[in-house]
Amino acid sequence: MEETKKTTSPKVNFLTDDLWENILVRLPLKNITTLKLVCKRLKTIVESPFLRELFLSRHQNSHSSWSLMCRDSKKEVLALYGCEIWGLQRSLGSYISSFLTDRFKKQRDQNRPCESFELAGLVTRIENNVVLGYKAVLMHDTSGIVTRALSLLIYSSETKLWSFMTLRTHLPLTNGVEHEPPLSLNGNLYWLGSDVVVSHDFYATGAESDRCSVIPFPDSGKETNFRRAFTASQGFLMYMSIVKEESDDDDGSWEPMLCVRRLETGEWQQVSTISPACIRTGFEYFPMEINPFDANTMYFWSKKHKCLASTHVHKGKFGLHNNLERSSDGRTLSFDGEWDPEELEPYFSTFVFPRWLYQIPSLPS
Amino acid sequence: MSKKNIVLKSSNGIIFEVEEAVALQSETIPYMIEDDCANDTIPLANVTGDILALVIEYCKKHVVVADGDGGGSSSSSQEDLKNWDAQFMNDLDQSKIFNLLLAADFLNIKTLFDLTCQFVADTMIKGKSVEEVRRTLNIEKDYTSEEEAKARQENEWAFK
Repeated sequence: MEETKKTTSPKVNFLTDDLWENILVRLPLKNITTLKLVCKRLKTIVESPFLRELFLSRHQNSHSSWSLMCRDSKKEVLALYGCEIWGLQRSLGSYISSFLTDRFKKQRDQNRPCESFELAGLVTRIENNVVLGYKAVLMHDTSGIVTRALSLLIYSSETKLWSFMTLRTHLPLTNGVEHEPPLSLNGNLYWLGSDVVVSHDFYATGAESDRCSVIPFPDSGKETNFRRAFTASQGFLMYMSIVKEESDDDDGSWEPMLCVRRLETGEWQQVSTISPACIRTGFEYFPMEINPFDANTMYFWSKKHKCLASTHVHKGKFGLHNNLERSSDGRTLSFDGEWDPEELEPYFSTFVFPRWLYQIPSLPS
Repeated sequence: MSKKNIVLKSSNGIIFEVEEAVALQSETIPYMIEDDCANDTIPLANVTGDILALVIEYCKKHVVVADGDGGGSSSSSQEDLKNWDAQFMNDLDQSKIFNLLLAADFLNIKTLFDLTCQFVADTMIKGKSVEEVRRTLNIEKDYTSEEEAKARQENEWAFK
């Protein structure tokens, strides 16, 4: 064993923090996190803002893992994993479903046995790309009732307490708000109603803390050719729909157009309006989501081909995907080939991993 | 035009004479030439002879390819160079690798610095358990069992 001793390097202790950072930045986040347990010095380096800045700048154009899951069945329909940021070799679905179903149900039942509350979503408080806390939001089931109030039960990782909350709106909410799971983005939840988007900032303080804002759809009143859908991409709430627009040919005919918009400070901004051949031929497409890290790529389910399709939202370039696609850099795009929106419920929850994580605030044991 | 040579002297007094283009892959050496123009020999107080020999071997290999390409790098030569780099690093023991990393940092040779950092990350850390990393890098555990258990609980997800 003497030989092993000779070849191990005493130089490691002489590596400056700067050199360590340059080595660690080349590892995936999962790996970087485990290094905090090696010694105290490495823990300090891993948690330093310098490594974070270096890591974020190195990966500014990279994808992170994301997952699209059906609301009730927790079935994962679409997922991207194996990205170098996190280094997760299996999809998020396997991590998320157990976390959401088992641990939270147990927590909720122990704290307040309220059968009628269902988990609506998780919101996170993120500053400088560091996850500082989260809130689990459960919503009282009021389907079928016209209401001006939403009853919520909220768990905060910061206070480690559950609390009741009532959100009020100035417009009556008809059913619909409850049908689709809300979308979580920047500390807000967005509920999709039948013709409005209702949102609330769970980290708002003061007068805003129990208000929700109601924003009408950008194309309210127009006939849509497929289900309106929402997704989050690159930090924005994105809205996609196919509407019939009068064609440029001046012959009074109508042409289906795929419209993508995003919400910026309460206003809808047009991102693109295209009319790819695939839409014009009349086959039905079911909108799934816009890539959370690449706002140019939109995913559909193709009824004709019974498979996943994607398009570039500006160029209209259209492609069909195999059930499992692996790119040269190890990323895997997986799609559940069995999934059919006409047979299985088509409401999704999107899960996106951040580009940096200091630590996940833990649930109380 | 005759090729200019530069003389480098390691910390333990070993002299290396190299073509200017080889030496100038280091961004530190030009400053030393300016500062030391009266003297023919550039002393490198932080780099020993065996490590400097490796640095020069690396720079020679990389300067030849850069010249031969005439600007338009062909994929085969890039591929060859990659293979050569991998073999070059594989032949070194751990102590040499860390000394080479320090030398690349001091001499500011970006490609060699990236190569050694990546090699350390890939071969000594990536995918290894906490214990394996400690053993490989000869790092002493300075956590109490209690502290370690707490840190493990806080970062539980990363161990799944």
